[in-house]
Amino acid sequence: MQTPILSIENMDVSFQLSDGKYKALEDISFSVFPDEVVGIVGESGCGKSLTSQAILGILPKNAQVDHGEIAYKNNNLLEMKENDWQEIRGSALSMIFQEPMTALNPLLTVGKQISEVLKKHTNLSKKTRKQKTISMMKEVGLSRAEELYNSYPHQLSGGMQQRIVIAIALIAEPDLIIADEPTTALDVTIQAQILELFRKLKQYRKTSIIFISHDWGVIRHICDRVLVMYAGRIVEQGSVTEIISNPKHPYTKGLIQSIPDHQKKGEELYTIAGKVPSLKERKGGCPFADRCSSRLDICKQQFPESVVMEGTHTVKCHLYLKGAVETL
Amino acid sequence: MTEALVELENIHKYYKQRRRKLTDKNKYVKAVHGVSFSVKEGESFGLVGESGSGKSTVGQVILQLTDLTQGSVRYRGKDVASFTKRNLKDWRKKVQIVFQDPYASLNPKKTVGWILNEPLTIHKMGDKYYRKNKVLQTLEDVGLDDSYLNRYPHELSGGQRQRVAIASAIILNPEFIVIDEGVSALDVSVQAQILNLLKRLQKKYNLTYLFISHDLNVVQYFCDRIAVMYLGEIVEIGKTEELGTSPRHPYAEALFSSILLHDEEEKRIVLEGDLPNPADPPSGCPFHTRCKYAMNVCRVTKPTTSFFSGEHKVSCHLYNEKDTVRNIT
Repeated sequence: MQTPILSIENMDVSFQLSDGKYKALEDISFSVFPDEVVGIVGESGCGKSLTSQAILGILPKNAQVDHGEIAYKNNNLLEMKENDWQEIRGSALSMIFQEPMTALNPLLTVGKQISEVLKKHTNLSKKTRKQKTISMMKEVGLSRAEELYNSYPHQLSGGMQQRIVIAIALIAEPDLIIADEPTTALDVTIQAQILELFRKLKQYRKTSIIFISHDWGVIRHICDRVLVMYAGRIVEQGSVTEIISNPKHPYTKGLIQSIPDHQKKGEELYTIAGKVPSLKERKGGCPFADRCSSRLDICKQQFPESVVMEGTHTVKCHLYLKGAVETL
Repeated sequence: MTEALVELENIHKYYKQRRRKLTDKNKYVKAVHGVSFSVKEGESFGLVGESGSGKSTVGQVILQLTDLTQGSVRYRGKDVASFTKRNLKDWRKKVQIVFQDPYASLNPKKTVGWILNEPLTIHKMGDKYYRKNKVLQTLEDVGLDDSYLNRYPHELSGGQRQRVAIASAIILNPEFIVIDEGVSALDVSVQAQILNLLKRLQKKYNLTYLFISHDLNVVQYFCDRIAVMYLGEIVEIGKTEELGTSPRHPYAEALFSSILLHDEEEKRIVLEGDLPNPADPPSGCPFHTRCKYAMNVCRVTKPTTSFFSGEHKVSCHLYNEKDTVRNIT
């Protein structure tokens, strides 16, 4: 068995609001192995982005990790001081955000923004930094890199900006990249180009990626394993093919069934009634119970244990716990 | 055969660019460049393409939200440009639009009740009681109840807000609605609810939709016919079944191959480069800069439109017998 690059154990994150403390993430545990792409899916408000912020130690001021462990190569990140964090962030772990335009500084040339990472994390000379930056820009598919080095973000198209953001994330050769909806703001044809780029990165650089998206098509295309999150919990996880062809949790099933396509033309689309409960609305028991069509009595009282379906496929749902199967 | 409700004939829309120097020539961005199609009564017509392809401009041109450079829009056979002011106001009741971002299209300072009441007041529809009833009935149509009347847009979720936007579009009993990326900003599960709602309303009120979207899965599910736009021109148009399963134009082919969910790996085509600048479009066929089949003729002359079966039309030299140098299997 390989050792994971990153492993998270029983992590809870909560928000301190004016009228009390509310749990936003509960019992998050998963690992990322070398050369693996892990997808995280779920509706907005389910805690996908919060999970990535917790890993990088960039949680909002009123949020904190209550307990649990985030281990990066056997160092517990949560016990690290801010100075040590600075060393790791950008060089060992890096992040790609959804909106390339807001992630880039409009007042600096893109070349400068990429080489800044090297300035911070390495002792390379100015000349080598520029060389490395230009070769990195070429690697992410910007053909006229020498000319583009001195251009400003607004002079580039959305696809090119996203390539710059990816170059910034890659230049220090991190072990793990967290990509938070990196293709959502892009056109389909550009999206296909960027996904192709991610696949090449995985192939040649052996970088691990955590890929956050709500688009099942993208997830299927790029990920090895997928975690399904609902209301701050991981409710199902397993290999991509297994989850898409054979989803077990009623929430995952609902999400996959509600995707429109030409084969469903003329039919009413499947919908999941209701919406994701907000932080303050979350009660005990399974958070999905209110929207679930196959709810049991126990669902409202107790959060289900994790059940192993097949190999790495696990699901947290009472339907698959032993007692429940008998009552069905 | 149902009759055409909206007909577009050779629509051009150019936007003038600011001159940098006094001696510069006037430059134009050709947002829409010679687009013709017709939407039949009761159908859902899909318009797809990348951002900058001019699909939203077409929607705005139909609703007279922006004026035309050239061409004509006909509604039930009558040229919209010939309408008098009063006719135009009457006509505006029949055509409505739903925008992508309900956060931006609803007035944040007004309640849902006020937002829905306003179009009725503007068009002097009935008395106070009629309006009140109409607002309640429309809210019910979109799946909301009277508790929403006194709420403000910021108190609603994205899906609820989009329902309010749809309610304000249907409250005047329109015939034709442009849905400009109306479900693109929503989560899949909410998107499915809104799509079901639109289908239900279409059946109930015999609505005609022009559905503008970049999401091909949604368009293929929702629409009866599809037109694919590239750089302000329609490159392919046809029934969803034909176009979706066997797109002919190389651009449409690449676009539809990027639907990831049902495809095998080999079939995906990744286009290189970006959309060219619409202010300075390539000569000949606008797509030749990114087309892997590009021939010499593509760089020089613009392809004419050729027909496949029935309504399936393509603008590409590959399918024009006189031009075709290579055989396509």
